[in-house]
Amino acid sequence: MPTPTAPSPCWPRWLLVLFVFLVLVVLPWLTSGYVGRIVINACRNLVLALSFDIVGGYTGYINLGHAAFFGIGAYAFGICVRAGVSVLLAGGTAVLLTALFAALISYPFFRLRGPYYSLATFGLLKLCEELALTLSGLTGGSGGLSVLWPENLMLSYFLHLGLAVCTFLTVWLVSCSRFGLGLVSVREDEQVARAFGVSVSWYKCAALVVSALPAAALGPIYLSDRLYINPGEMFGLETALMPITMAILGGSGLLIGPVVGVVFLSLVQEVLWTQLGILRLASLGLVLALVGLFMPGGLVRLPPVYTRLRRWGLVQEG
Amino acid sequence: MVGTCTAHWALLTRGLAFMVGFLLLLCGGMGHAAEAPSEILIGATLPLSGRFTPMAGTFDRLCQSWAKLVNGQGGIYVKAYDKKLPVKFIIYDDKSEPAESAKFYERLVTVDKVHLLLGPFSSHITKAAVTVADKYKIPMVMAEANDATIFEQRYKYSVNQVDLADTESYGYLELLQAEGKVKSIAFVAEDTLHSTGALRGGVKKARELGLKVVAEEIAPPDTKDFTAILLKLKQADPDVVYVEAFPQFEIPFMKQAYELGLKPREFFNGHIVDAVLKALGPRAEGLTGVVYWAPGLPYPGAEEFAAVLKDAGIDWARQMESSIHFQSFQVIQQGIEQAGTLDPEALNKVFHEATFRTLSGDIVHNEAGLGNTRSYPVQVHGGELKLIGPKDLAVTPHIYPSVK
Amino acid sequence: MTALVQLLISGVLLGGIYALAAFGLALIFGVCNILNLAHGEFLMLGALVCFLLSHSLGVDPFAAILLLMPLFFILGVLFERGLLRAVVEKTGHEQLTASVLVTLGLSLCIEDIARVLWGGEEKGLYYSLPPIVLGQGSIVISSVRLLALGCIVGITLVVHQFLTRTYLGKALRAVTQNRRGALLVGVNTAHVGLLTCGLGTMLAAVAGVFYLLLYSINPFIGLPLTLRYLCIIVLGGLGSLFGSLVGGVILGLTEVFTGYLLNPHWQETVAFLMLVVVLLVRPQGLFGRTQT
Repeated sequence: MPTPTAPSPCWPRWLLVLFVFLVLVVLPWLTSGYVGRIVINACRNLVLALSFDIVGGYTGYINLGHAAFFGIGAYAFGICVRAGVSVLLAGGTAVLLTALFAALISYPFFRLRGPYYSLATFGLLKLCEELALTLSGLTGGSGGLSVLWPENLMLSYFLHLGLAVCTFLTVWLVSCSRFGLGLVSVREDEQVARAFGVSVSWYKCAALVVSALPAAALGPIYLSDRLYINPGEMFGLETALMPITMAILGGSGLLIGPVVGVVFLSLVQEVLWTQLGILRLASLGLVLALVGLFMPGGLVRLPPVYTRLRRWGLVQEG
Repeated sequence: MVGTCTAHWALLTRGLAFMVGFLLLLCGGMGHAAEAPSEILIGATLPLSGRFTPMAGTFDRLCQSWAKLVNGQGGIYVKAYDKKLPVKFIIYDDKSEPAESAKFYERLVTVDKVHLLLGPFSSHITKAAVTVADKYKIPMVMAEANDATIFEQRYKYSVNQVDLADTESYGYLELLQAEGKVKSIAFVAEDTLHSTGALRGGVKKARELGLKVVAEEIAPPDTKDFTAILLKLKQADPDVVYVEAFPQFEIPFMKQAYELGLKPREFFNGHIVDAVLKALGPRAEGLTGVVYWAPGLPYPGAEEFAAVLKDAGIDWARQMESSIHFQSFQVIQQGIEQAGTLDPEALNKVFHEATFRTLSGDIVHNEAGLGNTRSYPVQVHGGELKLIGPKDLAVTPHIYPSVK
Repeated sequence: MTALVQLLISGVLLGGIYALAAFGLALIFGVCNILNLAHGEFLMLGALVCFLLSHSLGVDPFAAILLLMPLFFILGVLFERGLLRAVVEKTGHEQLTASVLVTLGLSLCIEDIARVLWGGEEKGLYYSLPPIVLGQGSIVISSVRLLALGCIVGITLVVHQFLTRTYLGKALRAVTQNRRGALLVGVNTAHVGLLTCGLGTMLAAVAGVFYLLLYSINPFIGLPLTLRYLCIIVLGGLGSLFGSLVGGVILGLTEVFTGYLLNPHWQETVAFLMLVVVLLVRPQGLFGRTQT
């Protein structure tokens, strides 16, 4: 695609982002718990979608089991807390353990390609679910894991928002850096990348670990909000597929893609579920199928949307 | 440069307008309280999509049909306004997901300003929803949640109608003990919150009653091949095989049990819905189970229940939890009539202290909000479920042994 | 000893059902090479149609299979022409993302419409054949499962003949091995694609009938089943039809033995454990070809 140089905006991009951020910060004082919950759910999906995209979009390996990091982080946190460990230490342990797990599985799994990789990682996710169910002495099995402290919507809101912002910054840093460039080269052609001196295995491992960190951090935050988790919820199909669908639908491989995808699908779902009386799921399915057929690069790569976003400096070639 | 500045300004203002507009659309404007409400608003989320749809997906129709019945009589009498007020349900689809349910309950209280909440389906989702009731101090009548952990938390603003899942087997086990013919029993359950609770309670009660528990098998809910469990049960040779699970698990299990030649004196299934009867055909004859209501119980509300089911197009034999929901409706109606007001504190007090006359007997809630409806044992005779206990309510005697 | 024999028999029979369901998926995957998340929906639809025919009209399920086969063949062809071809013609990363979105979207649509039209509750059918009893009642072989195994064996033989003796069959194998190469030698990949999807969907529907007879169905069984069968064919080796059969049987045996020797929980776990382990040790699956 011919690339005219984008005109420099008359004020920095970050001001725009800051503005949105400020609105979100004051939101709790302007609206009700309902809107707060919508934003929380959106932030959760955003963290998972953005972190998924580091591997799925930039590296090109669709990790269907990405939610495993989320689930493992939540369970590790819950188990530590119930064992009497302090909250902060438990959270840190959870994130560290999950990162270690990601590092361990990266080498063997990355030997697989394309659909093999996707299905193997999905198999890993299901394995985690079954293990969480089976090792009931540790995880509470089907009874689930509960933490006993009072609900605090405000705190949950800011924790979710904070993590979403951190994840966004992380992915932004990756996309701007040489590391990100290396990942993209792996996606385009792994052998050529290796020939050019990119240490492919190391890059892929690092990418997986970096993508695991936000998801792992979301685990404790989610458990602190919900106060109760169980295997079906953490490792189930909805938790696994929805953020991935949002990232792909928005535009996988571009920073703003998952953001657009999350916002778009959250809006669509909210409207569908409160306004339509019937066939809501079918309508959602229809939307997904249409996007897949006609805009597989995602909403963000639609020519009119793409050029406008480039002009506003929200997208860079990636 | 100037052109770009305008473009940016346009983006900002448009973005802002869009966000504000969207938020207003969602909030529907903050209403101000009127002096006397024109209707009684009851809010709920139901699993109209997702994995609980098979059990409760049609209950929005159940709610609307009950509202229609009550409104046909003018509504519910509220003493404080000295008139009958019509009932209106506001129902959202929680997609069988706790996060969605919690979100919509927030909306029901803060945006739709309901007077009362009706609980969602399953203990699992209720755990997320019940905190909203306590936070805003709006009473919740929890229709379908009976897991012990919910009541351990001692929420103050919620009541449920059905006793703990652990007690589900009591009616049947007590009947067996009274008859004195059964010596050994094997328990099989699917690994879900409700079923494991029922198994736990059942094993304990069976031992207390002097029955020998020869097996306690729990398998994941999507297990389809039961050879391993069935071989073990064949070796143990119990008098009764007690299967506590949902149809998705029960049907393959029972089919394979017959195939592999497991022959106890009696089979028990925790949820004998229409699908189970159809799938097992003539072999369902003699199968025992439990229900929380059956045609023929002499308690108030049976005719209204039948009318509501007919209007909603729901078949009780297919979706038996409908009777529990109806009990909740009765509790709500009697609660409002006794309290005489829609004030949340007064309503909550009545819910916790009064006695309610429902389809399945009288209900009293303890301070943790736990109701005391217990199950009734039934047996399949002539392709239909018939009450076999307790003694004074049995429609037909318990046939044992029931496996040919 | 009798327990061992019974376990072996059960394991093989279970494997037969897995193989029957996964075989159609293996065909489609081998030729079109995309992740088809909607396959389980056709299994569900096949089971549903059989249920409706048997329940309302009293049609014998095996007679219903004969009616279903042409119906679902056509449905598969339409599916390929209408949706799948558009996805297959994309390339690279776009193809992968498109396949996920399109097939997932289709699954959700089919599930929801099936629920609205025929109800979301569980559906079961009574069908019983006297089992084969050996060793004075200690070893029992389920006739229905044996029939399922017989079905898959029969289908395998027929398909094997088709693949090795007929032109279309060889063309199919050619496309599975190398799409571009097949095009170069003059194979009409479009026709092959149509045929394969028709066949694969038809097999899914037949598997659905057996699923209904042995278990029970509801509109939501599709997606979890698809993912499970995809895992089976990846285990067996993508592109190897024989691999999916063997993979299914191996899995059936492993599950049954694990359930008996350990406990029922590990029975479900072992499936995915095996998949992960096999793929790590042998990335192309048990019988797949090494990827380029």
